[in-house]
Amino acid sequence: MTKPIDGPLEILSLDVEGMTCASCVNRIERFLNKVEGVEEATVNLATERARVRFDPSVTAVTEVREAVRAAGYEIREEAAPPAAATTAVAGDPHEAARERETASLKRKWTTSLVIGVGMMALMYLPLNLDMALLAPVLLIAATFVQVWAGSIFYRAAWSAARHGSTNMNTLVAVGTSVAFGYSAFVTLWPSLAADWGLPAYLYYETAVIIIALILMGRWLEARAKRQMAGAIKALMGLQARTARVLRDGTEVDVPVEQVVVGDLVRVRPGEKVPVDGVIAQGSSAIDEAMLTGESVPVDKSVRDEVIGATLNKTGSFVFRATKVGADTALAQIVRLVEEAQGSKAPIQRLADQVAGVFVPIVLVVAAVSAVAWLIFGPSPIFAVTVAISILIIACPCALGLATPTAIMVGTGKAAEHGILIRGGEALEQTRRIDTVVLDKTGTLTRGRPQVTRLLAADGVDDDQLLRLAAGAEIGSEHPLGEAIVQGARERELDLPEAGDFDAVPGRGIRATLEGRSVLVGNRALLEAAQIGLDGLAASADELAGEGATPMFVAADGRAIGIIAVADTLKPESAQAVAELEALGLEVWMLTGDNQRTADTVARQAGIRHVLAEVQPDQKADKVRELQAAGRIVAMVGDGINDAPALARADLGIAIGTGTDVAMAASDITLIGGDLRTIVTSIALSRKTVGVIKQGLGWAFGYNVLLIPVAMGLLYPFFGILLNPVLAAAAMAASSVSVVTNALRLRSFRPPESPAQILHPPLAERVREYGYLIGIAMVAVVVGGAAVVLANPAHPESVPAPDHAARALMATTDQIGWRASR
Amino acid sequence: MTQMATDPVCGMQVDPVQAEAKGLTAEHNGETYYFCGKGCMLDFKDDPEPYFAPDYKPSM
Repeated sequence: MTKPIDGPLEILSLDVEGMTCASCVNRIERFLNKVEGVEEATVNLATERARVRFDPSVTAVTEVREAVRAAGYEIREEAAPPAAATTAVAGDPHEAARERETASLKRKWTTSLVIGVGMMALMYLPLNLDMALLAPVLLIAATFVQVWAGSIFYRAAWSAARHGSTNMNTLVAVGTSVAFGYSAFVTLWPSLAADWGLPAYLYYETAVIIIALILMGRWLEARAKRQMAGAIKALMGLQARTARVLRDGTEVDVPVEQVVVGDLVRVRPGEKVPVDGVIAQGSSAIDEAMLTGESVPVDKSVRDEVIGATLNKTGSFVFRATKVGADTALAQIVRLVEEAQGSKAPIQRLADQVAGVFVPIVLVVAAVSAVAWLIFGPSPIFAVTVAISILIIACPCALGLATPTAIMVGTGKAAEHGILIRGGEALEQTRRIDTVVLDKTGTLTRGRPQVTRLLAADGVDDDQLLRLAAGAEIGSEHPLGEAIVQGARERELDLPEAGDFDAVPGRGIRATLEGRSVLVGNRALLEAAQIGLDGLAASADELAGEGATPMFVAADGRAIGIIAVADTLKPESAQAVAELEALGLEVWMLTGDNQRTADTVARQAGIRHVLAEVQPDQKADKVRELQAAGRIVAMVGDGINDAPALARADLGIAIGTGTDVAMAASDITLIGGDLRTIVTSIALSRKTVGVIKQGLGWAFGYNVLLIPVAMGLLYPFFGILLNPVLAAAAMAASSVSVVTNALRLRSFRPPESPAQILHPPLAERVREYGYLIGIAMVAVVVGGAAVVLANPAHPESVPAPDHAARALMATTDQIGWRASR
Repeated sequence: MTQMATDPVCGMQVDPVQAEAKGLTAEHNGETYYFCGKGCMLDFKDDPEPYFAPDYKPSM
């Protein structure tokens, strides 16, 4: 590689035919690497795929394909790829496009800001520059910014107008256009402007800096924005890549896309099931956590259904494929998530809501003032000047900063408390929820079974019971067995040496230790060995009724007890539920597990609304039902089967200890999985929205204060009208206020109790108002000083323009004088 | 059972009859060589010499 890389690299995947051994792999890789622009080429013999990373600005896809052909191999064209696969491919361009957009935003705001600050320096520093030269330069720079960076606002304002509404974009488009337009007019036709009596004010830096700051705000938000494609990609990543298919009498490894309905597929221990189907031969235990959330493997044998992407544990079997490609259960989950993500309307942000009301008001005020001055004023041109001034000052530059700065500090603070929030929308949305839906396994409960009770038979010690069972289960990969071993270790029991070990599928295990024959398993295991249950049966039933799994233990032909194993509630879950209810939220539990276990857990956690035995698609439907009833629903989950519901909910909350898919489909991730942090999130959300509102107040406040000045209300008394200095002072004051206000969020602390959120203590309120008043006073003093300094009191005369405009007028005088000769 | 030939490039055992049928053969210095697949054959045809070096170890 000799050329430096210009842009992002692309990745191309090709199906290559005709490879037989590693030499072929080497050959193809050699040929590919020789192509200029190819950064890396990896060829896999088993999957028959070549993966090439290359710089698209140097080399095209066709050249890469040519290289493969030149090496002597054919490329297999993809025939109608399954819908699920195309979705994954479509996901990548979206992400790439969004990254390009974000990078473009960054370029625009940084350039605009540099230009804007440069302008301010040139205009306000006493450098005595020749205005005749400077003004055109400013015009060119401002035109560039207005057209290149400002085009975003024009387009957005236009589309909003077509829907009959106004928002922040309208405000910015109108405000900056007027500022720029007026300044351009005064620059290009200074004599005309002077003739008409228009003050030679240049508002270039106002327009440029407004654009720069608003774009900066957007960029800040875009960086944190939720990635839609992430969940889809994570789900696609779960699929097996290859399948071992019986073709022409031999077993062949093929890419999973090539499996067709009716194919016989073999799955070996530890492998992922490639597609959906029905077992034809053999049996095994399969981990179906993907579908049900339960980590306890399910026993399957002939005629049982298996689902693609689930994990085969210890047996080997052959199954007949019944659903492939876009028809598999996994593809369905992907579709559900896509549907959910696509159907959510973005919530209307506070800033837009305010702007939506503000813009029409400003337009009306401008019109009314113009008319008033037309009637009562010195000249029509004065009325025009007033109208223009109002439109210019009405656009607050800090508007774009109010939300992003609060969001940035808010999400940073959240991260300190173990809450990862994806984007400002999530933060604004959190305080609006009124319903919380909780997944059971892994969310409310620990997700792994634990020993909960020991029922030893007469004459048998509890410890002895556990010891023997654990000794038998050592090395077991079954979660129930692991739970027993873990339980014994926690009690620091001496475990016997493991002897012979024999697994009985679907029943349990048989082992010999310390010279004794030990059985651990379900009822059927003991019955088959003709060991009486001696009244343990009743206890077992009781335990099962509570949702636990009773494991029978027998030694030397006699039942010695039962070990109850269950997935236990996390210690803090009950408290979290109580706190959520105290906040006025309705708490629901949804689970794919059976009703009995669900009810037990719900009772322990204090949850009154339970839905059990729910399929993954039903979970999303239930969320939709609640939403249809007018509720704002938050969903909390950790598993792949929660993904559709997480995407559908108004607020998706993922448990950090869960799957990547769940985290990718959610708006908020609770690191560590403590449900009480949901309460903290709500408190933080309320605080942050409060700060955003204050920020908006600051942003608009100074400008609104100056509207009367622009309207000319002070003119009859002090001869004061709007001028660029005032506009610049307002910009600076509002920006500083907004940013410092947002920084106050850093003092946030998690609330002690829900009551604190609902009724903030007096001390806090006093501090809040004290700060706000303090800032306001400082601002008024600074602003007042600026006004006075820029406008020496001359009741009758036209207000003295700033030095730049003064120089411009001197130049125009000269031009006018020359022209008249 | 026909005598198996050895692919000089990768060392795989190749059935010469099948290789012949698929066109996976090449001649060099009067000898016919059989290959496991296109890759090895093309490599060999591009430049046969290295594969006759005394210390060349055919690898898969």
